Amino acid sequence: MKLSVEWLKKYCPNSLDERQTAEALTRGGLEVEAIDKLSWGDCVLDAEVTSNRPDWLSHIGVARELAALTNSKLTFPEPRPNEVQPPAGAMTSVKVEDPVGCPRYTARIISAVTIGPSPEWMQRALAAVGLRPVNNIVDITNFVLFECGQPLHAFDFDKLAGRRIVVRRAAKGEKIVAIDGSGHELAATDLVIADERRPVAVAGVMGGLDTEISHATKNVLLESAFFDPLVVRDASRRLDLESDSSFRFSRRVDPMTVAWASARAAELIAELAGGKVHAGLIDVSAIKIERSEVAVRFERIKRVLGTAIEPERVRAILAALCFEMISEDAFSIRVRVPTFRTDVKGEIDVIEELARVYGYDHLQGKPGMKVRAGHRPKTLTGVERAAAVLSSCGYLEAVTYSFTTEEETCRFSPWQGDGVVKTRQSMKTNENVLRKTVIPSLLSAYALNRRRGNADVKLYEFSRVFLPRAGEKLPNEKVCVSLVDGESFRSAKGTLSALIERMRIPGVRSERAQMAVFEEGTALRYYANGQLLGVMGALEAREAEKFDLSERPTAAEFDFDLMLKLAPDAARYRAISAQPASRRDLAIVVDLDVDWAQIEKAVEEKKPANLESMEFFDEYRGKQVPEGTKSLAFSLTFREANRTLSSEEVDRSVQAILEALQQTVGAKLRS
Amino acid sequence: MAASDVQAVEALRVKYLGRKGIVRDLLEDLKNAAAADKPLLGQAINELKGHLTEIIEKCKTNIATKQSFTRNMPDRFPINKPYSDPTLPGLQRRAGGRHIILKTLERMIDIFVGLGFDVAEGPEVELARYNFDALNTPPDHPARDPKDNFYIGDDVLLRTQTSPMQIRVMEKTKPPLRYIVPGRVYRPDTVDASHSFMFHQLEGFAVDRDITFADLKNVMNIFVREYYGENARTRFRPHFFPFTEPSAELDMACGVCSGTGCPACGGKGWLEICGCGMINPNVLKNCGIDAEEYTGFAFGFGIERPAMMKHGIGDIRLFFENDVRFLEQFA
Repeated sequence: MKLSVEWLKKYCPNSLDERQTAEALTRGGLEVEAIDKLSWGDCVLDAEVTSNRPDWLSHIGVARELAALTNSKLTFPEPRPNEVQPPAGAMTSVKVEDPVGCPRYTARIISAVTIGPSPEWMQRALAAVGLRPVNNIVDITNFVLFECGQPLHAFDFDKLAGRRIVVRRAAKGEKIVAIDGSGHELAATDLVIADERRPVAVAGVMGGLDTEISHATKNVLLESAFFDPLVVRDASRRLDLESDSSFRFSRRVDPMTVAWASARAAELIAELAGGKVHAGLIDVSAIKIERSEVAVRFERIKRVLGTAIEPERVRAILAALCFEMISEDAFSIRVRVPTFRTDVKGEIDVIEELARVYGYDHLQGKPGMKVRAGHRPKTLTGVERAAAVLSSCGYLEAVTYSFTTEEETCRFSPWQGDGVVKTRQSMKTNENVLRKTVIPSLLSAYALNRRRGNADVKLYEFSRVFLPRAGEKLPNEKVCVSLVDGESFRSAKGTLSALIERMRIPGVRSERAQMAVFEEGTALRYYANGQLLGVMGALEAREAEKFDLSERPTAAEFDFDLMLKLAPDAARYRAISAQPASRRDLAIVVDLDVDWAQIEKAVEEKKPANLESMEFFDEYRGKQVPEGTKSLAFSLTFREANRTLSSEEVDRSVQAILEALQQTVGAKLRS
Repeated sequence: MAASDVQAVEALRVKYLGRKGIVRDLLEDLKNAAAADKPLLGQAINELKGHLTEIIEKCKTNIATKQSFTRNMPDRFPINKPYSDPTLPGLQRRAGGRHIILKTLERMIDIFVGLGFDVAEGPEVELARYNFDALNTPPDHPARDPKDNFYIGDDVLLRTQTSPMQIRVMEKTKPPLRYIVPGRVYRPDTVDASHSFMFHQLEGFAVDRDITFADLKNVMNIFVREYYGENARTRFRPHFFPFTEPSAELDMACGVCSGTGCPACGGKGWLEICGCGMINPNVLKNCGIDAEEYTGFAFGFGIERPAMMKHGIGDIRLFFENDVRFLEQFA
């Protein structure tokens, strides 16, 4: 909200310059974000008005605050327009058919106005708050709105059919052209100001073009009303029409200002447009002014703020904020809340008032929080440690958006879940589904990197996937660890193995799988404890095309929740032998379709007691082996825990293994 | 005397110090020397023997060292080969690392765990009851506007803040409580250099007997100094949140102009760090906590903006593009 410093000073005269005024308001809770100087010397403060303080949406409202914060006096005009006959009640009538939507409607008649420009001081004031001058009548209604926060509307009285007002809900099909030229079809929920024939304004939102003040207007009907905030807000939203009026009505105006604003505008119209104000305010009111009372305990002030505030100071602050004193004793003070403070409902709200006027930076209590040890849960430390493993393998962590398309996420997701979780709104068309797998998002990030010429890109992400559960409102949010590897398939696989090993997850096995998004023959499914742990594979050709990739990176996704669950908490020492190891490197020739997994399995089943480990290191296909075969080279490491192995023993073990391999997969030693 | 391999050294040893070696010969000849000369000559021979032994030992050691060096570095660093060049770059080891957002969160979590806070995490898809109602935000509050939230159902939405976890924790655990809650939050917003519809927050709250506004200020000030530096200047200014009363915003003086206003801080002089306040008694009551006996405070940080400020990152979109040249800079 824009505030003119000169305008504020009319109601709160003081010696502060614009910077000091901005500072005082900011320290009091009305944050001034910018100060602009105008060509005629005035300054404009751009302030952020929080939603709980609609009373700050006017200069008198802010001046009231400034007066309390700076200990200055607040003065504002008491309008007393000269009135003429006949009385307004004889010239027009107001019928309120919907007192719930419109608890109070007041009208004045001002006749014989001369339309012209408003005086320079008023035009400047309006310019300061960002409004264009229109004509004296319209400017006056705008001026009074920004002066006291009460929206007003002026109708050309002679254009009102039947020269009277009916406040009602619209009938289906009724239309209106607003003063901004836009046309609207009204609904039965819209509250309208109507004349005898048709709607002439959307109540609290905008007036109609037909009845607006024009250069030919002679007589004015001045509306000042209280409309239900929700009714105005709903109409404003539905019609996509916003105005300074609707902004204030939807935040609730002060019902006590309605009459003041009407008298003030009428007086100004008489003064500046030569109009004659007809006697009496037509006032159709069903409003009940509720004045709430709040008691504040002195001890509670200290309990919450950490500092005691002396009772005289409490009284002074509350009085400056227009709270009326009802009673006081040694322990507490009882006050009546002003009608413009609907945000103050209880003791704690009053304590906040005291704190902010006293000054947050002046509250010097002693902190008393006890010392204790804080804890990180396993879900957090587990991620940190796993991330460290992936980082040490040369992967960089990515953070990608949680939204995707339904089609893509269902295509890639290996996890169970009935359907998808959809938001009603989306930032990108069709991307309103919460992802069930992170892989496509990482592939997009990978593709962006490739487009920019980055090579050997390896990314990982720890993130949640959203799996709907039948009959439950909230989905299962499974934490997954996902990666994309542009270096090679074996690079990705090695990294996953390193992670599984470092987390010491027992009993992990993998097997070949068929997954449409992965290239035929490259997909693997991992299992642990009988449950699906994760999947990996090289991206299939057509999928790669969809991401505009000419190569086929490897992608993998694992259930990190499950990994954490299966990972043991503390490592247990396994004895290491001081005896020397014997290593033998072997190369065997097998048929092309023999999987390494079969070799591993055969060796595992034969497992001589002194075999410590087996490590693959090379695969060869080519001219040096018979057609239809390949050579696999691996090392076997032998060791006895408590003695040195003889080379004969090692030979025997190697022989046994070779025999087993020959029997199971027809392996022959490579010559 | 120089010898370049074990055999050569051994040959020398045998020649000088062996059973049929030169020193031995000299000692034999000593028998033929005049009696008066024997002591001096004997001493000289022994000195020679000692000297030769030393030299031979040194040769052996040098050779052993050279051998072991070349044995362990067969082809990597061919010292003796003519093309060895220590100014060549080392083997390329591309270290990976965590995303700057997660690192920032880790750092902030560290600070608060050090102050005695436990860490909890909550769901991203949340009930409106937890995201609004229990946080003192009534049904018609403008914050609940469909335009400003990613609703999934009438009462289910993507959380707009990490505050709902306050309620979840307080419903299950009775005071004393001290928790921080990190996580992703979502708000529909046109994406530009300073706005994203998905970002990260760190929530914190503490409830106990005798927690006052002074404790809130103290914890916030400690955090600011730990994260931004010893010389950080702060100010608290009143603000509004439905679930805190009194509410405040914590500002830090711009590091460049110290509060007077400059281009770096957009002329404001102060940079907004976080929102905070005393937990509104209604919120405590909604969780079954006696608001007469217990008080508490709560605070909430965005993560992207502090990270941008601290590291000079100009565009929030960089966090989510994941260009490795960006990620590497902070890994």
